[in-house]
Amino acid sequence: MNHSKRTPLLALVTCVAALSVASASSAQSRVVVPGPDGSTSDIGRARDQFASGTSAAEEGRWVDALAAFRESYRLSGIAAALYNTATTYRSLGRYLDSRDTFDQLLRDHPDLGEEMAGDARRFRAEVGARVASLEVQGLPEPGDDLRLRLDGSLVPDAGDRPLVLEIDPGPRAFGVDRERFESFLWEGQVADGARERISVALVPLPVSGPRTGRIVLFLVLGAVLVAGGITAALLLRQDGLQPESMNVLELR
Amino acid sequence: MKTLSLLCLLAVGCVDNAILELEVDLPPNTTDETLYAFLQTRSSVMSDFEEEWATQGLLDGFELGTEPTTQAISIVADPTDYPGDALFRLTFCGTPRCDGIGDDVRAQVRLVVEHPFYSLARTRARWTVPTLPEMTIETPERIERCQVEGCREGTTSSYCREGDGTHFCE
Repeated sequence: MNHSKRTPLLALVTCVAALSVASASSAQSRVVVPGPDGSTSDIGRARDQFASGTSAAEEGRWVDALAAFRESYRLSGIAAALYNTATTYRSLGRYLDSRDTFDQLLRDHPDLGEEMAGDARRFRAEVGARVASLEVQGLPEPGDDLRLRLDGSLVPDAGDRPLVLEIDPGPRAFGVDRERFESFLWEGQVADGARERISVALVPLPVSGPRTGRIVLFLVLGAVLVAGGITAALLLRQDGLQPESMNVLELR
Repeated sequence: MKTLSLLCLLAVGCVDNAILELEVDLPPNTTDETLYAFLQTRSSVMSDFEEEWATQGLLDGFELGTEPTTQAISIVADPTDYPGDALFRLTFCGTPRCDGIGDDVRAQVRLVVEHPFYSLARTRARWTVPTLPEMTIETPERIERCQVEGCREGTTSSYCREGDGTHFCE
């Protein structure tokens, strides 16, 4: 992942000006936006978060920067905070989130300045091209006993076959768990923009019969043992000691 | 053998017995009357030669011929008899069941076979009576425990183990 890639952040001065005219947004996208009644104190806190995020970004503390810009946008809803969120995702190598955040920006803020909108489209195209995908073939139909995991997290399964998952490039792991089958796990390195194809072959676990089956098995074995014992007893009795002579005396 | 016996006892109806196959060489009849060799047996666990032995349900006597004869008799014991010896009386009587007039005072020979019974084992012994006795011989002949054949193939002078002296049927 390219964590060092820098994306120009909107300057704090722009932000301060923007925050002074912050408006609400009705967007329902990845980054939470404030409600229409954002208070003055929220705007002040948003300004502080924006400044904090800018400082963190300049120092390469991308995770701190991301949290700050997201919080600033949640409080203010200004495009500058969302723009910086998208560019911070990009710097973290989270191209999928970056692309979606740029999409949100372009969709929810049609009043972006021409320059910001142009930059947003350019970056959106760039990170979009780096988003990779997994094409998973051979999956069984969805069911309660079927669980799909990407990098350890559950993946919703809408039933699309083959299943195509958009992912960030880098080392990835995809697993399939299903009752009475061995777990399937794929691990691999996915390049920027690559489409990785995975063929899932679930192997049934050795049959361990249901409890009733085992009970029946034990009963059958028990019956066989008893029958064998009776047969042996009968054989012993038949082959037991019989007098050789016609003259038999019982000891008294 | 003990394991087999135990298994047998666990199985309902299985008979745990032991048999002594006794061969008796009978003397020729050198008298003018018809004589029968009447054989009785008891376990030393239950009886001895001092007491009267009942005659009911026993084997008819073997009629003596003019030549020596050999009779084979299977003596069947149950587990209560196993520890003891087998006692035999051979009485030469005028009737097959030795219950005729004067049969109660007929001449008799006696035999002790030491410990002939082992669970589910067949043993063998031979008793030779070469001549008719003129009177009852109270001292019994004796076949020792290690002379009781059984549980070992081939020819041997003893049917007991060299080391501990136990019988091969034990």
